[in-house]
Order: sequence, then C-alpha cells, then structure tokens
Amino acid sequence: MTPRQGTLSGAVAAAGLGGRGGGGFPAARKLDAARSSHARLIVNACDGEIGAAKDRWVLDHRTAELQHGIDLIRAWSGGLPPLLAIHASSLRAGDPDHPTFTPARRAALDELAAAGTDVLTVPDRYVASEASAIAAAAAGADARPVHHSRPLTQRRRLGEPAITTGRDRGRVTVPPTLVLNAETVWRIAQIAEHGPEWFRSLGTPSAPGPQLFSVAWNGIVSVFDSTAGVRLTELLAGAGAPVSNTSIGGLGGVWANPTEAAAAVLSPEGLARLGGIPEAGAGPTVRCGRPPSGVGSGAITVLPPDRCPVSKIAAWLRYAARQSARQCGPCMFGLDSLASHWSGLSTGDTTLPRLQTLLAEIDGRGACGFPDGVAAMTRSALRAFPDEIARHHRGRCAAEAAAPARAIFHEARP
Amino acid sequence: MIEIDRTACRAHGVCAGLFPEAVTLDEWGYPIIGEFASRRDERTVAAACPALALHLTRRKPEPDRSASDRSSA
Repeated sequence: MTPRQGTLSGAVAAAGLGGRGGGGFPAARKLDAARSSHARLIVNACDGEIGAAKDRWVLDHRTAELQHGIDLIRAWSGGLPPLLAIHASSLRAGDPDHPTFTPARRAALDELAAAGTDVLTVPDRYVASEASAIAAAAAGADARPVHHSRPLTQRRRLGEPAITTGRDRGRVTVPPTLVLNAETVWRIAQIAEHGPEWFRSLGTPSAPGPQLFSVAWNGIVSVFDSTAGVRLTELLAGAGAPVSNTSIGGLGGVWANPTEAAAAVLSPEGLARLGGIPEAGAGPTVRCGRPPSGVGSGAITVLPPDRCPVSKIAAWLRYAARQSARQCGPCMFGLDSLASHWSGLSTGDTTLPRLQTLLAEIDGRGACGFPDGVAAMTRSALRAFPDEIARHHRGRCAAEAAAPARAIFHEARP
Repeated sequence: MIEIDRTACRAHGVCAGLFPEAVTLDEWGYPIIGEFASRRDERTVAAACPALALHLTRRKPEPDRSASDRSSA
C-alpha cells in the first residue's frame, strides 16, 4: 500500500512521523493497515516506561488536540469506538509512583468520554501496556502480550479476526486493533493542522518533528516539548539535574556514564552509539544491530552522582523480572537469571561470557519485545560501566566510595 | 517454515527429541529452532507438540515481526 497524497496517511507519511511509544515504527504504515481492516483505535497513555510522564501530560494538557487526533483517525479507519488505555494507578489518588489523580485528569477523561472515547484500565504491570497486551485486554482477555506473526492492525484474510489468544486463557479473538501512543495521536493532529513541511522543519532527518521527553530527577519528573537532536545536557539543565549516570529509555533503553552523558545527542544515531557491543556468535540466537528508529520512549532517569549504577541496574533487573507476564520461558526464567547473574558479576560468582550467553538466550525469544529491550539495556550497561563493575568485583564501589561520609544511624542521647 | 508461539510453549522438549538436528534446547528446556530437512518433518513436529505451540507458515517469519507493535511499554 502506498500512502496517497491528500489523505491522512499521506500527510503522516510525508511528515515522517515515527511512533512515540518507544518503537518508532512509521505511523503512516499503521494507519494504512488500519484503514484496510477497519481496526479499532486504542490510544496508549500508560507511560509504562520507568521515568515516563509524557503521555499523561498529553492527556491532561493537550486534551482537545488529542481528541481531534482521535476523530481524524476514526474517520480514516472506521472501526469500533476508540479507547484510551491507562494504567490503573493513573486513576488512583496519592499513588507515590505516579502523579495524583488530579482534577485536570478527571476533566480530561470526562472530555474524552463525552466525545466517545472511553477508558480502558490495564494493570500496573510493565508489559500490560505493550500493544498486543492492550489489544487483548480490550477484547476481554488478560492484559498480557499475545503471539502474533502479523501486525495487530491486519486481518489474516478478509473477515478473519487478527489473533486468537493462547489456549490456557480461553479462546478470545482479538479483532484488528490500531494501538497508537498518546503523543503519536497528538502529533497526527498537529500534522493535519500545520502540515508535513512544518513537522519536517523540526528534529533530524532520521527522526523528524517535535518530540516529548521526560526527565526523572530527585523525585520529580519534568516533561519537555523538544525535538530529536537535542543534547542530553540541555534537558538535564532544564530539569535541574547534574550530568551524571543516566538512563535514556528505561528498561528498554540505554545507559550513559557521565562522560557519555556530557556528549550525548538524543537522535537515533546518538542513541545507537550508546547501545551494547554486539558480540558475534555469543550464543544460540544473536540479534544485534537493529536499525535505529526514533529516540525510544524519551524517558530519562538521572542517578545522583553518589548512587552506584551497578546496584541501581541490579534493582532494575529484579524489577524487570517481576514485570514479566510469565508466559514465555526465556523471559520468565531468563530475566530472573539475568538479575542474579548481574549481581554475580560483582561478587565474582559469574563471568562476563556467561552473562553474554544468557543475554543471547533471552534476546528475541519472547512474544513481545520486552525481554529484547531488557537484554539491550543490560548490554548497554556493560559498555557504559566496565570500571564500576570491575571495582565491585574488587569489593569497592567507586560511586559510593567517593560520596561524603554519611551516618547510617542516629540515636538521641540524653 | 516453522513458527513458535512462545506464549503456548511449555518446554516439553518433544520437538528436540524428535529432530535433534533441527532443534536444540536452551538451559531452561525451551526450543531454539533451526532448519528442518523437509516440509514433511515440519508437519510432523508441529503435530507432535503437546502444547500446540508450533505452527507451519508459508513464509520465513520476519525478524522484526513485532516491530510494528513494539510501541509503548
């Protein structure tokens, strides 16, 4: 299918919009497939990535434009009434990990509901906000990723449902579904309003257009409306954060040490430089060198200079293991094993080649991209923090050794 | 070609038992599928899977099969 000029997908294709949920897949190709299958639109506003807050910002502060984007896509592809997917915690007041369920959020959801977009609440698990998990949830199944050899937007043949979920969950058929990130839908509305030329005038040739980034630092998440090509240091300065060990993209992203963070450019090419070292033939399935597409989810987390990245990554890997949907063996067992082997690298219980074999066994062997993302993040950490890992091995952590002395216990004396 | 539904696979290992030259198992017992000698072998292994996790496909699975749906964890 070639996008035709003068249509919505034609304008989106000319703009070069890539999906803003993390995958960076060309939005126009999804729109074309959705039109031919009359796929149902689900707007993903979950902010599932660690440190992400941009989708909720779009929901709360660009509600009218978001709804306009939804209307345009609905008119384009037809299909069942659209849904807005959010994590259950985004509806709870006073959740420590998420901003409070503010009056602005309530008003935004009411505005969308009045225009025909209802809320689909998905569990707080990380992979529950993966596209196929959301599509399964909308069809009445568990919000867990489903196996699909063709895109969710497509039917196998005309009239057939797209996917049937696994046997032990009952037979639920998932109709053709178009899952788009909330920022992506907002950008589509902007492209329709201002034109592809305006969009192309911003960003970089490989990642055009304006782009939201979230920076989590010191317990606060700041959202920036910027573009690909921006220097990481600009965003860090804007958030009041130091140039320190930084995660770009959370569990599915890359790590930068302070030297790299000082020079990092948030473009596909800049982030590819922060990826892992591809090791040829390290294990049974080696997939590396995935072409850079977009700048991921734009979720940035800055570690305090006295926070050890090795122990922080250990905590993230334990979190990742708990977030697995526990469906696919290599993810269910592999991520657990990865978390303990990462710690084992510090204690000397594991060797680097063993860890790399494990990564190769995890990579590309799940129904969704979650385990691949965690494997890539781990490879990037191995590249960014070789000295810290080695110092851990010798029982001395540089980051925490360099910190000023801190009392670990205080007792009031009479 | 053979495609594996990883959400359905329960690591029974029947595939590797029947066709050790085409299927190896990882450290947890889940298959790593290589090339089968014939379409007939592919049919045999798909029918033998107790979890019904193996599917015959006409084309090579795309390496980026879920790239379009990778958006937005």
